[in-house]
Amino acid sequence: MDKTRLTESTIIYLIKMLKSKYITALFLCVIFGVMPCSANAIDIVANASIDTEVLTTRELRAVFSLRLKHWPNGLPITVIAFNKTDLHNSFCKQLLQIFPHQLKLGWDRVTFSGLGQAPVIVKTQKEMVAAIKNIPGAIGYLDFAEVNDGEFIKKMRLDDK
Amino acid sequence: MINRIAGLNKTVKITINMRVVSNLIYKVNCKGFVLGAIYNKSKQIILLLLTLTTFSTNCLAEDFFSNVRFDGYISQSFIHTTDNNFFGKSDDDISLDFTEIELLLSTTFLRNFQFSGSLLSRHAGESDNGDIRLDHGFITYTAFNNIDWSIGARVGRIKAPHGFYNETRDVAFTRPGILAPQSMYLERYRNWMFAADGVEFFTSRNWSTDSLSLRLLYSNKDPDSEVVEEFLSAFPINIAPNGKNGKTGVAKLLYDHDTGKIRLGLSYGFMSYDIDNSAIGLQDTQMSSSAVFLSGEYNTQNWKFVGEYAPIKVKVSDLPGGFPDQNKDGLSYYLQTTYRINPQFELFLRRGVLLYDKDDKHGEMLAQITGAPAHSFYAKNWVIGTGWYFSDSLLFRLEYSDIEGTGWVPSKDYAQSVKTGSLKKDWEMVMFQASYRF
Repeated sequence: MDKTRLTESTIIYLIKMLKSKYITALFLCVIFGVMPCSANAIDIVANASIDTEVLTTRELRAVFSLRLKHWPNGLPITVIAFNKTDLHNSFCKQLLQIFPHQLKLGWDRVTFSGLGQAPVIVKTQKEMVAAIKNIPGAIGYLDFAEVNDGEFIKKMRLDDK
Repeated sequence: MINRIAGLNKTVKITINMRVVSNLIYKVNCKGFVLGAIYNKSKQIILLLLTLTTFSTNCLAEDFFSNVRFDGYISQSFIHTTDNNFFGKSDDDISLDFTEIELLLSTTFLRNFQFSGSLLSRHAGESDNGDIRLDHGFITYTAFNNIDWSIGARVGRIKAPHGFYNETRDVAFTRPGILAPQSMYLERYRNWMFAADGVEFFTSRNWSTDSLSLRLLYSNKDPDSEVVEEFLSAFPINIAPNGKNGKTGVAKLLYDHDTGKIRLGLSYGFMSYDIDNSAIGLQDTQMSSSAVFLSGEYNTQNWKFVGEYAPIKVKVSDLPGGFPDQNKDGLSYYLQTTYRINPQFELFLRRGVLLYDKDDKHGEMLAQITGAPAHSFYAKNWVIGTGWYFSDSLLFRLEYSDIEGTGWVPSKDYAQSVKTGSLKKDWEMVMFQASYRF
């Protein structure tokens, strides 16, 4: 009996909580807010020499598929990437919308057929930051909020509007 | 500067080091003795170095060598067959005679130019002796490149874009098994299929997730004597393998849909040459062949389905020894399905078929004409294999093939099998390969 009463009171308490507009607002934020937040948990970063701050998904895909060779100001594009990390997989799936193994195979095809140059592969976030800072025209990606704009590095905005 | 890049990987470090190398080569080149010193080594290595040094003039050296990248791989295979030798003495034994080592170099310069070259040592039984050679070496000029279009041209020794795999057939990481499917990418015809000294025009149109590309390659280089020798091995005649009037061309259209989930290819390749019989006072033999490659691939997260179908035409006329002119329609195809269990492991199943004459599926008519066994004019196999991507750089593969026919056995292994009496129509093959890339 006590157990039943306890369950009933718990349910009543929860309903009251949900009726509270603050709690409901918080609940909705969690449900609808977390998903876009997680999709944006990756920052696209580039060498400060690049004369653009905004890329479309199509442009980002063309860059990372090694199809686009130069930035608008003529600097050659150097792609910096991680290999098979969770961050790389998320970047491929969420931002490029390409299977990571398909992207890798495409890089290998370009490299070994001699048609282009493969991306520079780095192992750590620190190496990524160093590569981006030191190679004019370099572009890569990092965990969200890993880096702030500086003299040699800047964040790029993805905008398909 | 050096401290700031200390954390970067080897590629970036090489970039910096190559600036020093570029200055060194420039200085050496000015003194004019570098080419002479290495002249006797190999003509092919010289071609590569000549191309490099030609571009290392004072104004270009820094640009040319500042973006140098090195890539490469080394592969070692272990091959066992129940009958018929394949890449060495594999019959009832284990052959270690299939080793591939390749070093690739690429660099960009003058904004729109790229040089790409590779040195390859390939030991494949008696067919390839492991000598270092310039596998490919070409300059790409991209005349126009934006998000929609890319247009340009290449000149040099260019990899021929037959089908999906010809260009990267030697690279374990890009082919779908230990060997590229033998029904289509025959090892015995590798040397004439692989690369051509000539020019190529390319263009591609890109959309958001799709792309369409066109490549047109032409070469008028005469075939090497090994290529002619390989062709002549199908006939019991003994003439000098001197090819002339060589012409090779490839046209390839490739459509990539939904960021590579579907890939469709259509390529047409031809090759023709004459065999000079003037030494024996006979008319030249004419050989021409052409093939259409229809290629398709469908990818999901874990599955890959790939198939290629190629009708082949071969025409031979004026063969010495009273052989009738040949005009054969051959056929080759394969279908493969690969399942990725996880990012490290994959399993595949492949069916491959090669017919020298599709109207003579069991080779009986060709056997009557040439006197060679009927099973040497076709081959069919089932292959089951697995790949283990131990790390980003290390790949292990294990495969089992059940084969009927000897149509794709390299001619020198075939001759060895005839000599030792191990030539059989039905045979099995087990291969293991370790491949490391750097």
